[in-house]
Parts: sequence; structure tokens; C-alpha cells
Amino acid sequence: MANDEFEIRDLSTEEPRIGVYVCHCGLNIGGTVDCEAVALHASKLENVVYADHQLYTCSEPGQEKIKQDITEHDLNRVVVAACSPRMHEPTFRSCIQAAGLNQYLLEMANIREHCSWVHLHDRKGATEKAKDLVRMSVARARLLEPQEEVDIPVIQKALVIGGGVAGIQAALDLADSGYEVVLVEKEPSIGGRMAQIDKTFPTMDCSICILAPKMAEAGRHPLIRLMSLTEVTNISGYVGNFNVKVRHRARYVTSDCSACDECSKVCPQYAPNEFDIGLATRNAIYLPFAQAVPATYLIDMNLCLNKDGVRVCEKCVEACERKCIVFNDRETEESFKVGTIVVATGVDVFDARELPQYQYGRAPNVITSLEFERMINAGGPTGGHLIRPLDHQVPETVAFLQCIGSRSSKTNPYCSNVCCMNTIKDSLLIKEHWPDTKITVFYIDIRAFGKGFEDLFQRAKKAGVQFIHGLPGEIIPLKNGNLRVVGESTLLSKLYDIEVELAILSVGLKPSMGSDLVRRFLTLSLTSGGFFMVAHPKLRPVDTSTRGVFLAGCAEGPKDIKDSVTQASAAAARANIIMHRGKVTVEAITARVDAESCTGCAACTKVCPYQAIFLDENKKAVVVEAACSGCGTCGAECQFGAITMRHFTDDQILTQIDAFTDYESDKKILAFNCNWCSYAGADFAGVGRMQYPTEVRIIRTMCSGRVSTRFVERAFARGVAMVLISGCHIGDCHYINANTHTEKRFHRLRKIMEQGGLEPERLELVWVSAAEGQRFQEKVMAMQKKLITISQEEIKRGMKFFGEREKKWEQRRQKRAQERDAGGPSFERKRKIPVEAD
Amino acid sequence: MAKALDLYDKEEFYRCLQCAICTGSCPVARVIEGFNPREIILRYMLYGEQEEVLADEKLWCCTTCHACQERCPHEITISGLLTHIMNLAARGGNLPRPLKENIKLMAETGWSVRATSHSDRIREQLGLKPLKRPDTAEIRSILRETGLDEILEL
Repeated sequence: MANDEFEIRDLSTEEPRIGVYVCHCGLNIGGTVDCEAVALHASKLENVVYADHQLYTCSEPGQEKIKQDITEHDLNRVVVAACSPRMHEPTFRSCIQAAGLNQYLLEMANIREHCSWVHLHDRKGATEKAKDLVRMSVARARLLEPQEEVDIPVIQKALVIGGGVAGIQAALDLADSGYEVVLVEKEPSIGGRMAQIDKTFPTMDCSICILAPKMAEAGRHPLIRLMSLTEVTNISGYVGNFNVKVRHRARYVTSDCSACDECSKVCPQYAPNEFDIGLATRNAIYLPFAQAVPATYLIDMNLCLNKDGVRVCEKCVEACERKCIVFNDRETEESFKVGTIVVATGVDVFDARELPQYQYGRAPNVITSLEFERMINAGGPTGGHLIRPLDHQVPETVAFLQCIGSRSSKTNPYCSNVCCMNTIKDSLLIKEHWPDTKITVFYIDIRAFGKGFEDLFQRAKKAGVQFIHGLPGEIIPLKNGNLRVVGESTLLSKLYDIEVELAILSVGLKPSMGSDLVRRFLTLSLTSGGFFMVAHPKLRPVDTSTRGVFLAGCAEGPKDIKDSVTQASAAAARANIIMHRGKVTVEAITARVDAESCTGCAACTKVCPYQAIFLDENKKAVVVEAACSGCGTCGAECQFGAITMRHFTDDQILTQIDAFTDYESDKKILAFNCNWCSYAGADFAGVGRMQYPTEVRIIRTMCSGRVSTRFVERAFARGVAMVLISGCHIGDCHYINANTHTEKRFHRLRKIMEQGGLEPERLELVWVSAAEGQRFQEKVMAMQKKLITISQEEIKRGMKFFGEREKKWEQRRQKRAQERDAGGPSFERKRKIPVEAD
Repeated sequence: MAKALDLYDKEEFYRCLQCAICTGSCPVARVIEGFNPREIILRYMLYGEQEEVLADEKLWCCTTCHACQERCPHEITISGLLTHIMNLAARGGNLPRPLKENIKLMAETGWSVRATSHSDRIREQLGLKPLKRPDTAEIRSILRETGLDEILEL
């Protein structure tokens, strides 16, 4: 059996000797919580042999103290009451490990993010809460057991999703390190947005001139397999062992194509060219742009005259010397395995038609900044001439409108980062070619924060570009195609009414359309703007909360080329670390089955999001260690206590609940928060100093799916006033869909409460993402309002009702154990085995 | 004062970027120099110069056409704020005379434009029925409920 390979030191004979360390964190905790009183409270608890309070427990002297004490006081469990375990758990784990203790014998009480920072003005309440949290941690620490972690081999091959400059850079870095890379791009060519841009800021380099060599290198690198016209259709698995499924769309032209362009010359069909945003045409058989990689033509079958096997036009086939046109090309699917993934899905631009007052899509002389890039590009549809779409005249007056689709709660709430500098660069490009052009830039703020940006801004002003603070209220199209731009210059407190010949809308960036699919496969979180969220905004800026998955470029948030490339190299380096080691260590939090207690009811196998648990030939549940992620949904579902979630056992959680309820439980709220979204969300509330009532105490589980109905029942049986279950939003669960079971259990519990004549509103459920600190704050505030209306009779009714249920449950369990010990046949009879007909 | 302001989500005004789209869209600002919704938000909400703003008679140029609010990128209820400010200004005595007269006229006749004996004559010549005098009791009760009667000293 899988369980035998781990030797666990028997601590059952050793009495727990717990050391408690209360951290002041400077004034962060000490300024609000009376740390000395908390330490004193801890010192009186059972099994606590030492308690202390320190200014900075995470500091070198702080850690040294813990190490010394472990030897001096013979500690075998350590509780650190400080910041969030999401912050410093690894620090203290390695600290106690250095002192010879197994790292799983550490427990943290979060008295900063969940206490001092959110109760800044209530010293008494915060101190009482900190005492509760420490008491709960000490209770759990008593039951902690040493655990051994396992290593899982890593496939030394990477997947890069998206072939823009970030994806190209990441792929090249990974391949240059000697790893195989699959680079997937949904468009016919790699290159992304950078290929469309004319010049880059602030150096005014020709964009495609510096990108094309990189594209070509990615195309011919022996370790990079480039898949263009390809979409990822599924990703499963886990770090080191991802199974990727892709769909290759039909190209109808083989890679023998020499890009001679003879086919395109004879093709009778035309359509707007996507690369030039419809400003030019292409044929049904075409190359997206001159520098495209792969330099292979493709056929747009929606446009081609030959459809569904009916051949009416042979012109391209006749023109093709190398005979590389195949009309029976088909969509194909492919599966492969990779160890790490870099997500570089990039951005789309804001659709300016959403703001009708600026007339985009109605007045021909209103264009977007991306269209401008194609126009000013020498290889673009106008050969580098800036012309008015209406009459093809060079405009003498041009207006730029900033923040179109950015910094607005109606469109995108964030700043798109690149538009200010892009406009400054664009204005200089116009001035370079047509120095007499009168250029006016309407802006809210000019954000020229990067290296060399301010210089460029000054250059534009020197060149005579006029900057007016205050966005126009509207653009009024005139009969001659000119445009009246009307608004207020706030610096002059005066209204302007300026006639221009061309208006350029500086459109913002938004997450790419295709990224949502990738998000679901990889269970990534999003920030409020819809971009992918990193594991830590400062210290893990390219990691995601899914191990082995990294972010690069604009998929993570709008950024310029330099930042995209920097991040791509960082993502590649992070992926390299995993692949170079060749193995990943899995946290020892996976499920274990006690075969004795397992009745083979198979309830666990039905809820496991990873199909990591199954029934063997003896009808006993078995866990596949490598596939188990430790969400604990199986443990919550098991009615027979046969599943042990290591490090988050039923007993550990129940004892936390018991410790919580020692004092004034009728005035408190118990919250279960999942590690990934809602615990992080509550942390975020702390970081943002979002104040809420002190009544709530949080117990961390890996997933809300871990929250067994028993936990809630125990809490009510012990007289807790209210219980909150909190997890990731449906669809965002870190464990695929484990939280759907949370929802089911929640409704089941509420129904039970109703039947027992209790107020079902005493149990609440809320989905909180890691970015929604405010949502958590608001929920706690709302619950506190309800809390004060709950009567003592109601609480007593709950204690009686759930106490009886618990007693019955215990009796059932004992009876079952007796039957098992007696070897009675009751299990066999319970399972209905259908009689197969001959 | 605080109570009336509670009707509006004050938080939303902190979102104001001073982008000036409101004033740029305001038909009144185009013809009345010195009427500027952006500046009113800035001074009243962000700088706290409430008394000065309330004393400005130009407030009353707002026609509550909602163009500012419609185009505001942050969906700030600018018209709502202006209505609130006008209410407070009136209570504080800043209610232009013509407006006062007009409301009084409505309270007395039920009309905002006075019907004269001349208009009665023209109606008769055109064969139209004589105008029915509206019931002013209801209008007066509205004025009483809103406290306008005190302001107007009716």
C-alpha cells in the first residue's frame, strides 16, 4: 500500500511540549494588540511549556531564539502568532527544521492580517481575539504530527501559450537553457501586438526590425516546436506533469511553401486584412504580413471559392510551383505532456465604439492608435503616409484623445500603462514627417514614469505638441469630414472648441479574448481588471497560485515591450528552476485512507476533482498520492471517518473549534476560509486595513470543500452564534470544482437547521476572491448586524439540536466499529450487489 | 447638511479624475462663463469649500439635463450632487429672485407662466374654451412638505 513508504515517527508516547511566540511586528501588531497579555494567556494553556513575545519573530535573532528554546525547553511543537501563514510559514518551517523538528510541527496564528490590521481602533477586542486565535492554534498544535514530503518527477519540457514578444522571449530563454519548448499561437503567425506597432518608445526603434530576428530565431530553434493556428483545448494534471491538448486549425498550405506570393497574385477573392485592422485587403490565400513566422501562406476557407470539397477555382494551385496547396487539409488534435507552463496570452484593444460620443466607427476621420500605427508604418497599408481615411489627404491638424476605455468604471477601471508614451511617440513621428502639423493631445494625466520617458515627453513639447488637460466631452463631425473637439481645459478653466482634420483615440488594453479558457484549465485567479493574478504582487511577480504555471507580458497586466520581455525572461527563469531540479516536492497534506474504516461506499470517489481516489478490488478507497492535491473534499464527504487529511485532520479542526468555543462562543462568528481565495482575501482586507468587527475568528482549510458538515454542526453544538463558510468563486476554485460540494453541503445544512427549528441565517456562505478583501469585510459587517439579534434561546436550541445529532453520529460510528471488530457481515449486506442475468 | 449628502455615495466622488468630460459635455458651461460642474465637485467634495460653493448664484444655471452624469467615465452622480447643492443653497438663502417669483406664481396660480386677460381674449377669438384654473392646494401641500414654503416665506 502506498502509505507504507513513509515512516512517521511515533510521537504518541511523547507528551506535547509547545512553545508559543507572539510577535509584535514592530507596531504592526504591538500597536493594537497587547502582545504581552497574549503571551501570558498562552503560557497558562495546557501543554505550553514556554511562551514569549518578541519585536520581530521573523528576524534572525527571533528565529535564533526559537531554535535555542527548542533545545533548551525540549519543545516538540511551535506556535508562532504573527502575520499570515501565507507570508512567513515557510520561514518558520525551515527555522524549526534547522533545530531538528519536523517542519509540520509548526502552527501559525494570524494576528496581523486577521486581527491587528483590521481592528486598529479596538485594542481590547483585538487582544481578546488574538488570545482566542492563539488558543485555537495551541489546541491544533497539540495534535500536529510530523509529515514527510514526497518528490514528484518533472517532465523537462515547457509549454508557452501565446506567441507575442513575451511568449517568444520566454520560449527562446527556455530553449536556450536546453529544454524542449512548445510555443502555441492561435494566429497564423507569431509576433503579436509588437509586430503591428511602427516604432517603440522611448528609443524610437523600428518595432518589427528588432522583433523579426527574434521571431525567426524562435521559428528555427531546434528545441522550439512552433504551433501556429493552434489553440489549447484542455490542460489537466499538475506541476511537472501537465497533460496538454491542442487543436491545429487547417492551414491548407504545407510547410514547403516558399512564400513566393504567386498564389496570392492570382486569387480572385478579397477581404479586409486583420493585421492592418481592415485598412487594407488580403486575398483568400495570404501571408498575414511580410515578416510572418512561419513564412507559410494559409487559406481563409470562409472566403475561398472552394468549399466542402467542391472545387470551382484552381488558380492558386496552378500558380504554386512547389505544389504545397492541399484543399483536403483538416483540423487535427494532438496531446502531449509538459512540466511547466508560461502563459503569455497578451491583450486586445478596447473597442472605441463603446463610447459613441467620440464617433469612432461613424465619422471616418476618427481612428484608433493601433490603426495609426499601421498607417505610419512604411510597410503598412498607406506606405507610411498619415492620411485621412475620408479623402486620403494629409491632415494639418491632429488631435489625440487619451484614456479611451481606460480609468473608467464604465469600461476598464485600470490605467492601460502604455497609451501616454505611445501617444507622445506617435506625435513625434508625425512631427518628424510633417513638422507643420498642429498636434493637440487631450489628457487626464501624462504618465511618463519609465526610464527615458520624461525626456521623450519634453521632446514632444519642444517639437510644439500642445498638451491640454481635460478630455473632450464629445467629438462633433462636420460635413467636410473635419471634427469639432469640444471640452474644457482645466488648467485655464476655459472651454475649448477646436476643429481638427483627424482625431486619434488612444485606446486602452484589455485581456485577450482567449485567455478565459486558459484560466479555467489552469484554475488561475483574476484581478479586478480581468488580468491574471500573480502569487504575490511584490515578491512572486511572475508565479501564479498554480504551481508550475508562470505569467509573462500583458496577460498579467498592461505593460510595455521592455516590461513584457523582462517578465518573460523572469517567467522562463522560474520555470527553469523547476525543470532543472527535475522534481517537485509535494506538500504532505494529501489524503490517507484507513482501510479498516472504509466501507467502500465510493462517496469520496464521486467528489474528488482529480479522480485521485478510487476503489480497489477489495472495495476499499485508495489515493493516488501524486495526483492528490489535498483539497480535502473526500475527507469532508466521508461519513465513516475513514479518510485522514494530513495536516488538516478532522480532529485538528474540531479541536480548534472546541478551543474557540471555550469563552463567550455565543457572541462570536466562526469562519472557515479556503487557503487560496478567501483566506487570501481576508489577508488582503488586512493589508488594505479594511476595518471590520472583532467577532470573527478564521479557521484555515486548504479548500472550502474540506469543510465537513460535522465541523459546522460541532460549532453550533458548542454554542457558536454564527458560522461563515467562505471559498473561491464558483469556476475559480483552486481545486477545479471542489467548491461546488461546499455549496451543496451549505444548502443541506441550512435545510437541517430549518427542520430543527433554527434560524438558517446563522450559517452563511460567501465567495471571496483573493482580491476581494472588501467583500469579506462587508460580509463580516453584515453578519455582525445579524449576530446581535440572535437570542440566547436560539443558541441553546442550536446546542441541544446539534448536540443530539452529534451524539447519534457518535453512536452510529461506535456501533459500526463494533460490527467491524466482530467481523459481522453488516457491511456486505449494506452493499447491494446486482445479480447479473445469465 | 450631512443627512442630505448621505443620499449620495460619497465614495464615488473620490473616484473623480478631474478629466473634465462633465464640463466638456455641459451645454450650460458653453454659454455661461463660470459655471463648471467639474470645479463644483473639486471644490465642494474634494477641497471641502462647501460654503463658498453654496453661496454661488451660478449654481442655479444647471438645467439637470444629466449630460455630465451620462458621460462621466466613473458614473459619478454629478446631477444628483448638483440637485443636492441647489437644495442646500436654497435653504441657506441662495435662491435667485426670478426663480423665487416663479415658484410663488406656481403656488398662486398653478402655472409657471402667467395667463393674462389678453390670452383669455385670444382664446375666445379662436373659439377655444376658457382656461381651467388648476387646483393650487395640491401644489401648496407639496411646497409645504418639501419646506419650500418657509424658504419662500409664503
